[in-house]
Amino acid sequence: MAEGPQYTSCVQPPDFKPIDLGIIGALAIVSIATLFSGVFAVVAMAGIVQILRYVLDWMLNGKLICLHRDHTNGCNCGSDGGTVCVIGEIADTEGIGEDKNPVADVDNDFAINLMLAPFSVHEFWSSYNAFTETVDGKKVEVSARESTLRKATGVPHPVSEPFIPPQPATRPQGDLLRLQPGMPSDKGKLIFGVYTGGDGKTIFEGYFRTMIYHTLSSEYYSWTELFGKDYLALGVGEPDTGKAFGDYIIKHPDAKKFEAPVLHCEFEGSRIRDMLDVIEAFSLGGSWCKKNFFFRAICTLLQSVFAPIILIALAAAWANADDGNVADALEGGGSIGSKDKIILRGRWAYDGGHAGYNEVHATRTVQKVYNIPQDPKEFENFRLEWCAKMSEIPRVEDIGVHPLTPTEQATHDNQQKPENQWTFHPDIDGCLPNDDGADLPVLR
Amino acid sequence: MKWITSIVCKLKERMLLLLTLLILLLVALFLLRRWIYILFYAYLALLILFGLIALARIIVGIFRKLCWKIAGSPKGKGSEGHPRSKPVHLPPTIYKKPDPMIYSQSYLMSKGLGVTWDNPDIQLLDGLFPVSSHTLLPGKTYTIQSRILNGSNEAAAVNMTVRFYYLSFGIGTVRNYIGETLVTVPVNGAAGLPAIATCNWKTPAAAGHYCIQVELDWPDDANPFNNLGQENVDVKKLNSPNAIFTFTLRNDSPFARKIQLQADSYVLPPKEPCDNSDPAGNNPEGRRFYDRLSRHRLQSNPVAVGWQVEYLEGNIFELDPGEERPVTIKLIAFDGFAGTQAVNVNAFNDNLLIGGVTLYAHS
Repeated sequence: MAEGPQYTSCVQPPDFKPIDLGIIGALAIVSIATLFSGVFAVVAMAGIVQILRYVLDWMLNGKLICLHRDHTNGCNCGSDGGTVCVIGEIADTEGIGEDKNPVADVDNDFAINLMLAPFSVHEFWSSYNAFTETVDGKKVEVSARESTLRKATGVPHPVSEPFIPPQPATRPQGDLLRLQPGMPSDKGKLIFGVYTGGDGKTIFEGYFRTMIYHTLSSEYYSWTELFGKDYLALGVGEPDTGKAFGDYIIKHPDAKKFEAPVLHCEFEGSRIRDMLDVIEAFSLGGSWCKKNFFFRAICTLLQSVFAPIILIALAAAWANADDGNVADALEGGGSIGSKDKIILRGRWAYDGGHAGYNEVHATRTVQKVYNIPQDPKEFENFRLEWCAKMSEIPRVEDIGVHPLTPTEQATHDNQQKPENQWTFHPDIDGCLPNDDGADLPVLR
Repeated sequence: MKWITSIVCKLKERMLLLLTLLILLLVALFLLRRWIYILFYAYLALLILFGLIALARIIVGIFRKLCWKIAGSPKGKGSEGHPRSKPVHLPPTIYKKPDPMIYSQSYLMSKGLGVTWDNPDIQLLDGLFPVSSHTLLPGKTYTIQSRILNGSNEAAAVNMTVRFYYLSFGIGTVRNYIGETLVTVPVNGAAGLPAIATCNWKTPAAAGHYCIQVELDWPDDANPFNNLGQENVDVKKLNSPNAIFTFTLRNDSPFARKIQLQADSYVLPPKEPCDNSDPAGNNPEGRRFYDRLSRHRLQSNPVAVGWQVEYLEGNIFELDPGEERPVTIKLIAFDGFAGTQAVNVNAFNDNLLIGGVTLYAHS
């Protein structure tokens, strides 16, 4: 089965390192110092290329931390537990570049935010209140966000404590939103391999989107469905969303604003990979560069020599990259938006670039689902059924990278058999399997 | 731009003219050599101007993004000040649709294939034993069993709604809801296919002859046209050598329609072995080019040789919306016939199949 692209790789929790500001700072100082020094400006260009190479490599291969779902959960959509199946309702979508600063625009992913089933917007809204609780004899303020996150995960203790299986969770998919063991704590900034500052506390807050809930009709909308700001090419024409919300409240006095916990799910664009490929191409590949320090130095030299050309090529790669939502062909496929109920399959990860929440990155497949039970026990059966059926579907493109599971392999083998290659109906263009059981060569 | 391309196209074969123009340009530059630095500075000034405009555009973009970031909720902490949420189109590599399906007469006919109304995917059971849909007792509970397949290799369907209906025997008659159930349809090739959906049905107290419809409801279906199957069969014994069948023809459309009845003798042939690539031996290339559908095409299955079909009220009807008429069909076998013969009577409106029945006459 063809799947969506996944250009990034993730690191195991103990191997994660935040981006080293010392390296970037040193290269930046060298670049600025030589930028206006005549012929030595080429050194500045080389510095810029090395900054880009370091940052892009970290974004592509360093910032995502692999998460592994507990096997007792009964829903493993991949052989390693890192691939998860998630069922939920789309709260809203995030376009390319949304929520990113101008530098982070190099990442041309797009995202959807899922409220995990089964959920009750009324429960989220009613739990969205700050309160105090006593922990170890001390009164601790619990934020409104943490309050709703506890409701969404079904685990009553603070979200900053890692979820350690088999903790009881009353929400079937609550573990996906919980802090997992081994995630980074606030060690401060990394400068030349040394952490400075930081209080050592766990960084975990969850991911939230603003919602509007009508207490009388129980209708709900995401904020960005109703009051999204449209930024035009020159930054003018922004609607006054504050006034728009005020007008809305006058029309709908029962409308309440709150923040709902969601699972952030990203679809990968190719820009980071394309730009890194450009830099590595000028060092004749890139894989051999990582063999040892000596080869890395040769690569750096080559990249420095070609720096002016690399910068031009990088601009072209930026412009030509495939965005996360741009179809390789608009034929086929389908559209998703707010309130669509879906099941998706993708890699579960903690984004070390935005500390504080779990996400699905990259989302590989999406499918709409119907008749979702609201009762937690019935939903659990529904979810396990979906997981079982999803785990049967072979991921053909991953052959050689991730071997198929025995279940996937069995389905894949069956699909290649002539008796399963009908188009209209097995009784019309199907056939009877051979008596001797020997498979025929595949002709279609 | 059109005039530029027009000139370029005119000059493309005129080497001599181009050479002359270039020489003239060189001469002009030589004559104007004292002023050439002005041209150069003008060129630089233009470059700088365009560069500044581009730079200003980039800075505006960056500032706009920064202001947006400052004014809007931080990432993951709400979405106020963020752009509008829009539906997104996903490519087929990511977006998957299952194709739950049943033997669907209207779909198959639309592909030019013959159909039987003795649906292979719908079976009535009396307890555990299969019964024919034409021998049902009034006021008795039967089980309707439906076989459901999936044409997709990439997507399953969990909790798909399957609805069951009964209709009085005929074409276009009013359908009555029996019940519905949820069923899981795995991906093609997986264990668990075909999926089986069942529903209990207590037949009406009035004795009669009924049809069964099974409808699959999966809104995001890769092929929504193969979701409705119907079982519509009557069986009669030949009486020296005729069999007379009666059924109701109804116009279930909101418009007046001209309906034409057409008969054929299509039955589902037994499946061929998978290695039977070309039974006639005509094609050395084997199964690759062998048309397995040829046996099923409508034009390949006329009324059986020696049999006659008589439409006692004619075979063309003009019906108002909701109007119904009784139709009598007389099947006449050839002398000495022994066995069972199927005749399908299909109703068309402008070549569009609107229903049909399968009539079995046996010796």
